[in-house]
Amino acid sequence: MKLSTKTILIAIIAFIIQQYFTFWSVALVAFLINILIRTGGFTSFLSGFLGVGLLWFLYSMYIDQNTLGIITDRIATLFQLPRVSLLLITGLLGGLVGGLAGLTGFSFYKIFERKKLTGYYH
Amino acid sequence: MMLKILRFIILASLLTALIYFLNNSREIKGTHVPPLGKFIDPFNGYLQNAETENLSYEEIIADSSLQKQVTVVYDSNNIPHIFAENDDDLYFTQGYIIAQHRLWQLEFQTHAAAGRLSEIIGNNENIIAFDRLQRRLGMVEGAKASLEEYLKHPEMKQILNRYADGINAYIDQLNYKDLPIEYKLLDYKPEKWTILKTALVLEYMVNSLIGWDNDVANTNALKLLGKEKFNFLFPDNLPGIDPVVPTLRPWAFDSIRHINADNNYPYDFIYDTIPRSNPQNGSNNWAVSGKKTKSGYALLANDPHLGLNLPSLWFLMQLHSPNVSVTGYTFAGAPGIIIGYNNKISWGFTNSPRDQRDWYKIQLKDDSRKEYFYDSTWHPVAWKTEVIRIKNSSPFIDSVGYTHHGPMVYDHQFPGNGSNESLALKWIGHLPSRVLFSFYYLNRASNYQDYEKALKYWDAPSQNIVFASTNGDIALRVEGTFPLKWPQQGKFILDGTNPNHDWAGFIPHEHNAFMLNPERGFVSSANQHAVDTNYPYYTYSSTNEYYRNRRINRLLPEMSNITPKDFMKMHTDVYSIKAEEVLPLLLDSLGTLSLTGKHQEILNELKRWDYQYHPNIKAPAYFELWWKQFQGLLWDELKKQNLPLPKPNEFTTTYILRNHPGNEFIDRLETPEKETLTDLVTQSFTSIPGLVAGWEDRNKKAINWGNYNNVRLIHLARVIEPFNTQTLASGGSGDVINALKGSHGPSLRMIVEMSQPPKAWGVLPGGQSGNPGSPRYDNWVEKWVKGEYFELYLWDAKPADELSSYQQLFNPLPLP
Repeated sequence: MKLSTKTILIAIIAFIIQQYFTFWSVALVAFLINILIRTGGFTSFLSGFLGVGLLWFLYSMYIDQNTLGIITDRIATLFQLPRVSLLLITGLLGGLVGGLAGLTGFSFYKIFERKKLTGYYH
Repeated sequence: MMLKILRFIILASLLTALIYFLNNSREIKGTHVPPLGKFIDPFNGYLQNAETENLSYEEIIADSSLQKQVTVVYDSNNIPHIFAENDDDLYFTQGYIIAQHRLWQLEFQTHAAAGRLSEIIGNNENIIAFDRLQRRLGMVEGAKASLEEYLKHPEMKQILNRYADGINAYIDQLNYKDLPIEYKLLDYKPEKWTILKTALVLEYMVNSLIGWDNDVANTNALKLLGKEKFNFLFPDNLPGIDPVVPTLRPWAFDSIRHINADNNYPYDFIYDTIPRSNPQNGSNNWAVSGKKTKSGYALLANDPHLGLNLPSLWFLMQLHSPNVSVTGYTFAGAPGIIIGYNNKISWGFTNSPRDQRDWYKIQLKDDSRKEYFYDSTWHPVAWKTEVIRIKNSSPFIDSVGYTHHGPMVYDHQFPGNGSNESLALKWIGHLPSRVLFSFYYLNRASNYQDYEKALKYWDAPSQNIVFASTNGDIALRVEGTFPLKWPQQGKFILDGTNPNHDWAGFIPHEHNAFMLNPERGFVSSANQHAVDTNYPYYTYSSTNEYYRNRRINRLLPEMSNITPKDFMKMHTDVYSIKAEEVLPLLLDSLGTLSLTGKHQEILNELKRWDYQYHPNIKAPAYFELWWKQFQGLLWDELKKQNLPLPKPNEFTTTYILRNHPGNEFIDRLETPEKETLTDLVTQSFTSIPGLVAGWEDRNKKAINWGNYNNVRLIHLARVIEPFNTQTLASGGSGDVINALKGSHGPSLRMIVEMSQPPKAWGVLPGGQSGNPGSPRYDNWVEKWVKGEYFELYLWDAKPADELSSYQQLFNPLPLP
């Protein structure tokens, strides 16, 4: 539940913030969201990975379709890749940045988290 | 706790490293890789360069330097028509619009002109050599000389400044996201435009139009062959030449200087030469009077042949203000319209080959290279340091010595290691030019007198400038800065110590050849000899054209009731007078052989051929292979290892074969036998099947003329393969009117009917946009290949149905 909430939040905020800022602004988004909404490490990574990765993949696919592949065709040829691989790599790169940032967010709040008191003497 | 901090630090460092990696470009195995994250980010990267069929430029632009509102209306062909209320605003908007469509090209050209490509491309041997050459030619010095001249004239200074303001207004509002894709790929940013850059664009044009002299190779040949043989192989004139301006009556003036200096040329072998611009930079233009047209109005046609690049060299637009209204082709970086028409006149250009560039052998005092000998005394050499900055690498330092002749382009450091000669370059590119005034006045001209006055400022590469007007005049003037020369001066390297070898002034403008309303009812030019030997001045060029011009002059007299359609057809004419003259000669001399199947097939194809260079037939390819092979055997005397030598042109070759079939050059040096013409023709013919098989093997496709001719449009950077076009199935060749060959050919086509108002048609190879992500990058290529046109418009006022067409508004600030 927390995973899908975080994923969607990251995607939406990243979408907005990318209208104004460069690509690594998505890292800040995934980082902060994972500090605010706390889950385990794996879920943190996944939320960043999916939030940014899907956003990048879907948005690049949208542009590709909307412009009949006019630029993706040329760039795919330049990188010697099939067009669909280029779009998948776009998602993967975004996902990596987002995922790693999510995980970093997780590790950041963990520093300040106190262990629950369980012993008699404490 | 410590572990958790450590974990965070490791993850944060990993993230930072990843972002750093994705935010920077790098070299991987010599290949430049753009900053991947920035480049691939769909919100800011390359995907933002994708455009659709619909124009999507900024629709309202505000700028405080504007005096009044300017409207830019795009017609159905996406050609912008600028409507301004004064010239200041007009040229501002022209600059803005050209930057909006062609920013990368605009700047790349000036980087190339100034020898700064290494700054953006990086450490590459060829690019550094290119940059060094531009520096050594003194491109920036030449541009500065012209700029200084322009700045003396307040009205031109203002135009240049406003044009620059417009370009900078566009650049200033750009984010990374909006940059042309080439900036993203090569990872750099546009600089501010300056008026010097406009002068550099013009300087670049000067260099590509006259940078093709043969002086060094001629000097080698003179030493190798001696004077008599040289003149036999390289005559200035031959019977059968059809000059642009034939002598019809005695010239109404005497030449002002005709001294014959001593011809003590330096006799040298020079083993390494600098690259020259493409000798095929030619063109066609012609105009016919109303007597010959169906409508009764004069009709003008022009197709300048230049390197075929993407983004297209030319850009179509209309400029309109209370002072000027003109439609036509402009190039990125120069204010005004270069080739076009207004309500009264139309004009166009072809190159007129004429020697405007000479080399002087410099005698240096000693190895310190501080002094050179001239006019019996020693003079100081001014050394200039050139720092060529290289992306991701330490700079390359070069030094160029300047004499009063010009810079020593050749010296102990350049080119290569071949020679130790110091050769100084004297060319018109170092002289101040006022050529922008010519365009300024042509744009505003309304009759022959205005055209003539405009061309008084044509102190530039020699051009045949064709003209037609609504009052029925047709004309053609051969204009340029022509140094006064004694016979043979400038054909070979000159003696830099001898004042008699200096240029002694220039042919006065009023002595330039021209034709106005000739009896024959037409004027025409195609880079042939400008004048015949009756012209009172010595003229020389090593690159005259011999075939296209005669085809044009064969067609035009036969034509009557001409319509614009006839000229459109003529632009794509592929009939070759070269083939008509050469092939029968070869076939007649072919020995009787027992021909095998393949040879017989080739012979049959050639015998059936009608000399038309169509793309889908084989005969032109067979013919060209045969002729090239034959010339190789014939001129084997002129193949010396590492020694650049000129080759007799094809017209001279044919003349020699006809008139001196037993000359000594026929014999092949490498064989003990004494060959005859028949032997050479037969030997070269026999080799065709092998050559064809070799070609087909290398290119992995069947040979035909279209494949062999390989017409392609190549992106300016030359290294981004997917930005080029595929091979276009097109006919043509350098010797036919449709002069398409490789990546060279008609860089625009224009036809104007001088009705009132005039009607015009045009096309260009490529499109309006410089963006490979736009459908308008190459949407006219197909039309251009097929020889189709669209109508051009010259609007008197903003069209009434403003809402239906796309437009941009430029508002002054504060808003009215």
